[in-house]
Amino acid sequence: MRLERFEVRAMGSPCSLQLWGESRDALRPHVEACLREIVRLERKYSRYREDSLASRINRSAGDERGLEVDVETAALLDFAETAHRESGGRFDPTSGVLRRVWRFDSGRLPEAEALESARALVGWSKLRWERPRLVLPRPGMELDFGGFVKEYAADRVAGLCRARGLRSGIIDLGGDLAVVGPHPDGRPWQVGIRDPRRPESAIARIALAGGGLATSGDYERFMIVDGVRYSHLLDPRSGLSFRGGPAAVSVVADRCLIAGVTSTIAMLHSETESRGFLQAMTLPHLVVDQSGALHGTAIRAKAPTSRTLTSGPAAR
Amino acid sequence: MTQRGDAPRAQIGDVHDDTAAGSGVDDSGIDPAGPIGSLRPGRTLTALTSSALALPGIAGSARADAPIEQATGSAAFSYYKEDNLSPGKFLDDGSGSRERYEVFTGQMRFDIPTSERTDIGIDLLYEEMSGASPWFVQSGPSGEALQVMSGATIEDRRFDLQADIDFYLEDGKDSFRSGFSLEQDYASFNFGLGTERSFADKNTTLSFSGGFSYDWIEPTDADLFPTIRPEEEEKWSVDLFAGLSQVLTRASTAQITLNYKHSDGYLSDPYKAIQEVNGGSGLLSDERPDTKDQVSILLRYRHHIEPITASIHADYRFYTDSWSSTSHTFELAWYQSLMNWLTITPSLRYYSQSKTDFYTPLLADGVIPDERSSDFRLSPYGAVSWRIKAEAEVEDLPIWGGLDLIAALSWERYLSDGDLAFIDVKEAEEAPGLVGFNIFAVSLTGRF
Repeated sequence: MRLERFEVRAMGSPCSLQLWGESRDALRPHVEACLREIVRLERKYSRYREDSLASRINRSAGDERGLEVDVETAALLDFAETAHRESGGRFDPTSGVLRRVWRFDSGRLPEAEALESARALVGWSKLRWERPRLVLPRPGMELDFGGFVKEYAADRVAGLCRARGLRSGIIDLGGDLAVVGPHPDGRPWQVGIRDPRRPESAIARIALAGGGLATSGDYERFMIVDGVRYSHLLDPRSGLSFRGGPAAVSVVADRCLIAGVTSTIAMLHSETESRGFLQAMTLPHLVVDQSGALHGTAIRAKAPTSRTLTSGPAAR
Repeated sequence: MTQRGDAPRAQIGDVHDDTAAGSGVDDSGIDPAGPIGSLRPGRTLTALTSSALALPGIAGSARADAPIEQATGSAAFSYYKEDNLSPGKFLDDGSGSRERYEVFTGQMRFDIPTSERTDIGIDLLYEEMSGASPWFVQSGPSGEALQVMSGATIEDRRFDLQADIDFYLEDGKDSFRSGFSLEQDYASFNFGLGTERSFADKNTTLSFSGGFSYDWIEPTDADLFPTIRPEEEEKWSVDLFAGLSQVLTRASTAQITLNYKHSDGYLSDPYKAIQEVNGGSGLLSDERPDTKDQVSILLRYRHHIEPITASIHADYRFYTDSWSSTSHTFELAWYQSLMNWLTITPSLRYYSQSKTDFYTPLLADGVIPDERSSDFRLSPYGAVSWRIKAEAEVEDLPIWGGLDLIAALSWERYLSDGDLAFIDVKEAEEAPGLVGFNIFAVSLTGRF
């Protein structure tokens, strides 16, 4: 048995599949099936593709008839609705509109008027989700699957590998990780967590035997306007740049999807509240605060020894 | 040999020893706080998990059960002090001492992840005990039962080492534990195996374990009391445990556990004696049957009250043994978390037991049964105890690369009396040596 690594760029990120198999050639059909699955999800849910379902949904905004969605999309919308409710509105797939007015490359704050009109289009409660019918009643409303479809894809691909009989492997879609199974000898995968302040190095290491791991971070993406620092992290509840949260949050869960949503929600809490929230979630986690200090239940190791995976959206 | 009656041993990590308020006979060594303590269902997590599992193609098996703990080390100190007997309950002829037991205990525990799938735990305990303990009962001038305490103040030290290793699997863990305990007059060796498996998305956990222990005793001063103290004796025991934990709702879990223990060998207490009402035959040895079977059933319920970050823990335990003693224990605890770093836990416990069939404070004149004991721990009584504990956690102290510290402080008060029992305890059966005590404990845990 050999460990083979396959790299590909998909969903706007560098991705890798590490799988144990007889040979690279023997693994190739499995890898191709995985790539087809990733491409399928990207085509279906990317808002940058004209022909995607996501674009069709967004084009339907303002149409009171809405549109009927398939079973997979319906389950994703149910999940998003649950996450929105459980997070008190911190997780909100309708918040993508805010990026139209917050132009971080411009170095300017949004005009108050533009911000107000964008805010009027943000809010899960403003859409109507009556399975299988989805209605975006206001023109200009948008639904963005980008906040969770990559995590879902990682879980799907790991599940696909298991269904194809693979036992050992790990899927990394731009830092969103899902385990197929531990190494053949039962050892877990060693995952390095990117330092949000020095994205090329790892700040800690987490052993992952199953489930998924996802990281959210601000990774020093911000603009300074009139001496005030505005993070790229936008709060769907206020429409404003969020301040006072941790620098990065990594979460381990049974599914990468759950880990991803949890880390996203944790970023929109103050540093202290964030740790309380994660403790109450009872999921293994690692919080990097703004001073660079680590908190949580993950191993506090030096940089990982061998060539390992890293989790963190720095490469996005 | 430890003479403490029902002293609950201070445990690192808030394990309120369930055997404690019992009769001191059920020392199965299994921590019933184990499995359920780790099951604190996050309401949000449950909601997210159930909707994630509805998604096509990702429901298959995938677990996140890796032991990603940091190494931890804890130190705990506790001071246990029994109340002195009140006048009228004990024989004050100048030979015995009123000063009852006092125990200083120091404990250390280390948890070390050794590989990605295993971790090792090591427990060290050292304690120093001193004070007098109830020896036998004598009838007073007006026929009342008076406790006679051991003449000399007993001083002893105990050293105990236990090690356990856990093997983590996809859906549970297996563990092996072994250890020994040494005192001047006592040695004990034990080992055990355990396994734990989760089902139905971790909502159900089943655990089983079995253990064996071998104990050896060489009573002190056996040459001074050749008729009532053996020179050397031994016993062995096996115990079996089965537990089922179930997550009931988003905020509540329940657990049921069954315990069985069989002991064989010398089960008497060489430091206890008994005599007739008129004392005619002199001091007689404590004599108990050489086998004992014990069964207990424990029910636990935990409910988390999210809006006020509190948990209520309610436990009930039923115990019975082949010496015809039964007992009931009720315990209620309130865990209140404050400001994210402080937890205050008041708790209250009630205990009631019926007597062992061969227990009597004094034997009838001229009637000397083969099985006999005046040990107050085998007498009928009830007990109440209350405890308050405060635990504070500070994270990331700027030493050793960010140390987390957890400090805990607790005080427990315990009272026992015949009148506190469920059952009616006759005046003549009530043990004059029933104990009351205080425990003060402080512990410090570091995570590296």
